[in-house]
Amino acid sequence: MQTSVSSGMTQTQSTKRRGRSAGLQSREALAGYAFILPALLTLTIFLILPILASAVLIFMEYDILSPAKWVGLANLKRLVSDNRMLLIYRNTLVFVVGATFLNNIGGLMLAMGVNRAMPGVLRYLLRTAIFFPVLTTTASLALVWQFLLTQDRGVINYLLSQIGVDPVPWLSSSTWALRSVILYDVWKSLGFLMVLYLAGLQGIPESLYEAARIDGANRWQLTRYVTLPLITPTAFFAIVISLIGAGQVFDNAFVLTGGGPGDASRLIVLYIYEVGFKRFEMGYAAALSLTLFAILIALTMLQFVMARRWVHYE
Amino acid sequence: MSAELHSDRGRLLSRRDMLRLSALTMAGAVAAACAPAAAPATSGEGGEAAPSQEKVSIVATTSMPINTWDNALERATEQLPNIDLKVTATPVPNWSAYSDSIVTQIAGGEQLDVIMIAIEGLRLLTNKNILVPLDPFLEADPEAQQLLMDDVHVTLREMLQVDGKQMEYPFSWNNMILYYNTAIFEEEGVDPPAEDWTWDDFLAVCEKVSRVSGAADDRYAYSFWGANLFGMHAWFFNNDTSLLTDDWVDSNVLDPKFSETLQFLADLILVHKFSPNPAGWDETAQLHAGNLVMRTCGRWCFGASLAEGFETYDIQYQPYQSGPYRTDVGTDGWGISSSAADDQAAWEVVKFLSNQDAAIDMVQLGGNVPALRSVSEMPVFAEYGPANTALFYKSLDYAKTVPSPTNFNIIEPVMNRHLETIWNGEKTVDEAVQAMHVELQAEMDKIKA
Amino acid sequence: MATVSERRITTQRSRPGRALAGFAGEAVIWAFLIIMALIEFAPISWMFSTSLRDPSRSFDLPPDFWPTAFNIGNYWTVITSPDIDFLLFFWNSLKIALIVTVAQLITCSMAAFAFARLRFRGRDAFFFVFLASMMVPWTVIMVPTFIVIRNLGLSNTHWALILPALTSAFGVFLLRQQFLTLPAELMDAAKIDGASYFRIYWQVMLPLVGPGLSALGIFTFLGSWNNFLGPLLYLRDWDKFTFPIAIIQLEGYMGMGNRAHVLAGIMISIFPVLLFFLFAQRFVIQGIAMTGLKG
Repeated sequence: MQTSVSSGMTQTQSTKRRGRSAGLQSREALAGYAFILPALLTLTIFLILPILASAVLIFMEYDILSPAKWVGLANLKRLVSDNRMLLIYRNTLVFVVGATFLNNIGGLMLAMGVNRAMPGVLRYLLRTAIFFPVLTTTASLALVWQFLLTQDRGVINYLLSQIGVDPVPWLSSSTWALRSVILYDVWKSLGFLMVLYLAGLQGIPESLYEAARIDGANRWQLTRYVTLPLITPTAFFAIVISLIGAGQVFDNAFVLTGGGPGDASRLIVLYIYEVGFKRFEMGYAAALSLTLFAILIALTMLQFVMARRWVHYE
Repeated sequence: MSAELHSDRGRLLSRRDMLRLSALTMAGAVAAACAPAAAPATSGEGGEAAPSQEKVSIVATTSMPINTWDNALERATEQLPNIDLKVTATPVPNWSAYSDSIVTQIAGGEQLDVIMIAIEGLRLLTNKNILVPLDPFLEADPEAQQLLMDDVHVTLREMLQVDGKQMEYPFSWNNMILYYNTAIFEEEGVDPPAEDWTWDDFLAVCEKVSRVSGAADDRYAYSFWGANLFGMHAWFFNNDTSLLTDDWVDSNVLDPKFSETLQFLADLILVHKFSPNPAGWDETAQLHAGNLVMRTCGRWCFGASLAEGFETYDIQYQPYQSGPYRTDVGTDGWGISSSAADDQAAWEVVKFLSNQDAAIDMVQLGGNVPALRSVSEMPVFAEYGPANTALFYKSLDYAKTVPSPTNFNIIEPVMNRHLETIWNGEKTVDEAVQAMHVELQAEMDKIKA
Repeated sequence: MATVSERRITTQRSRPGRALAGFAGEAVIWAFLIIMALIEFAPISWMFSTSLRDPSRSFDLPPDFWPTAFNIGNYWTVITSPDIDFLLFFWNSLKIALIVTVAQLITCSMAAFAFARLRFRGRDAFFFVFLASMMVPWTVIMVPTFIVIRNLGLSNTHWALILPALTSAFGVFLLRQQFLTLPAELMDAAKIDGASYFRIYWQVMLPLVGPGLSALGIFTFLGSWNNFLGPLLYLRDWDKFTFPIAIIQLEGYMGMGNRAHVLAGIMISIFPVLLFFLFAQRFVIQGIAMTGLKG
């Protein structure tokens, strides 16, 4: 991990710095600690402390009112026999992969589409329209989508019926409910990803394109050999953020389908929430969270390792 | 933060003004009476009447819309001079979520002295020792005791007892009845349903009033929640069955009548197309728009129709199949928290928030049925309600209490999850009921230990 | 680049074909952009048009995606509702969002600068802690955080929403990536000039990550403005509520509220954010274009 984290540093930097005197280094170190202190302090009190507390919770039976009771490995053993958890993790996997893929491909394509010569007004309108959903509350807009996606007398099914498509059971069928949750997430987050990629695209120096053009590169070649390699740091960031975000999605399923029908669109965080704050089984909720934490950490580490193969820093 | 509180004072006043305004336009004589009551409160804000003793701070928490209590808060400055009363509302969609929120708040160290809860969450809160029994207070207060015995129906009173102890003082209640659009009935030449109409009569009516072809003017005959114990038992009890055994300790879903009821309802959606799939469907809006002819709900649904000026509807019993009951009933009330700072002051607030005036305020906003029979006999109750409003109280003699075991908030989602797989046609009633039984019985076994 | 020059010869030979392909490509791209923009915007315009209709007509088919009625009564009802004091909720939401945003821009950029450009013992370990904490599902820490807040006596105050949000691992990560894309020579040059670390951070490096800062600022602001669970968990007093909770109030007792009112409430709550964005959009995206990388 150590090497992969610092892989962002260019080779020249590390060699140059190796020759520094000890005094300069300690001044730099002091400055470093001072700079991270405010963030670290907040993080320690409101994140790390609670995390440590959860690590103890795993071995407890705790309903948040009565005193906690030590139960050893009971919660961890229960994980093994929890059949619902398997289905819910499958849903979560489908959601995470589906949403991350669609959001990033869509976001990049939109960013490249918008980042082209066009009248300023048009660009402004396109960007505003696509970014608009990001401005809204997930829970509120899920409510709007619920109205739109209703099977009977729903707006979308009515529009589909006009082009001869049979009513789709968007929210009520096991196959469609999870897809609806993914589609809502993509609708809601696409603008966010577009802006991220747009920032990346506009960070690519124009001079590189000019140089390539002088070499006679056509549009496809400009995309392939200039844009795509140079967008990789942004893509890396965007994918990590999407994966982690998607793994923790809650409001979407909570409002749109309530996890139903059955467990068909229940995602892991919704399940954890229900175990913790509906059943008040905090210990087991913490154990479930641990599994999610482990999976997300593993995914991210994998990303960092793989990043060395496809991410280019200048 | 305290500076902020003070600066909000002016705003609170303007909110009251607003309320007075809307109350005046809304009601006639009774609402007008609220306005003078508000006046002393307003002047009291400016120059305090220099209370000699320190005020006791009491926080009451409610599931109802916060404006239900605006008039009460103004009366409190006069009638409870030694109590600094504050009402907080927890905006959640159902009782399970509300009881969850109370538990979380208590765990978070919130000061909650007086707590509203309904039968559905009563045993959870009692089990977690959040409420204290009211019996000692009642014994010391013959007047309140008398009122409870004389003016509150025995079903409502006993419903809020746990192990023979009165845990809450009843404030309001609901039962599930059938709302129907009288204009559409007339238009289609259908007679208003009779009190003793049966499932077959109901199907015949549905046949006449429904119009579903997938077009823009589709009209559904009937829709039901398809979820929640309170919603479903409106049907189960009409067929003499229930999710749980009568003692609320075991699963009862293998009862053939349970399956019969579910099959009847599933057919409404899947076979006859009389009912829409409940997922995402907005009953209230569709009823008002004339896209839905009948629905099942309690009195609280009347509030929306009142607010939107929808008047062409009436109410009747749910159609009936077998057994002695016609509907289910649930009651809420006010109780005292075990962490209350001052029990006696809390008791005063419980009585104050359960009194006739508070009940009238609720009735005028279209809330629940008042627990005080005297209020339901006032003209205001008939005035704010459909033609057949008398049915609410009449049905109480044919109503059975909604099953509310300690793990209500756990078994309700279990039932809902399995019902969803029936309504979408992915599982047969038999398959779903078998799966439901296994999970439900496991949950019920847990609380036996 | 050898392959590129070869290609140039071939492409030059088939100019008409290339123009045609280019035209088709253009058309596809434009169709994609316009369809996506419509899909993204249609639900919001449906909401707007429905919020202007008589409540009983909320679910009329065929649907209208542009206003066909101008019944501003729904908005009037929401604004004058005795339950909802939109000015107060607006102020509460704005105050919290602004404090949180400014605080995060400062704390995150400082830490990100240190992680990207300073060397100190344990740096990578600290960064890993930040990174890992970003991946902690909020449900894991919801209860312990709740207890920390309670013990600090901050339940039912706006501090309960502000303090835990003073920094974010996400922001640190975002800005670190930005700092890393800056040429290393900048830092070395400033050091040779004898600038202090704070001056390097504040005067040299910070102006160059403007795009990252504005992106973080916007998303932090939005995150706070739209925060739903926090207020629900911590705020009990009516006069401390923020917008998202106010919307829930509109849904009414047991969900009996009026849909047209809910939609009007959502419109009102997104309106300030929309206004902000209409101005900030230029700032953000042009700011990104002017990134210091080019200089």
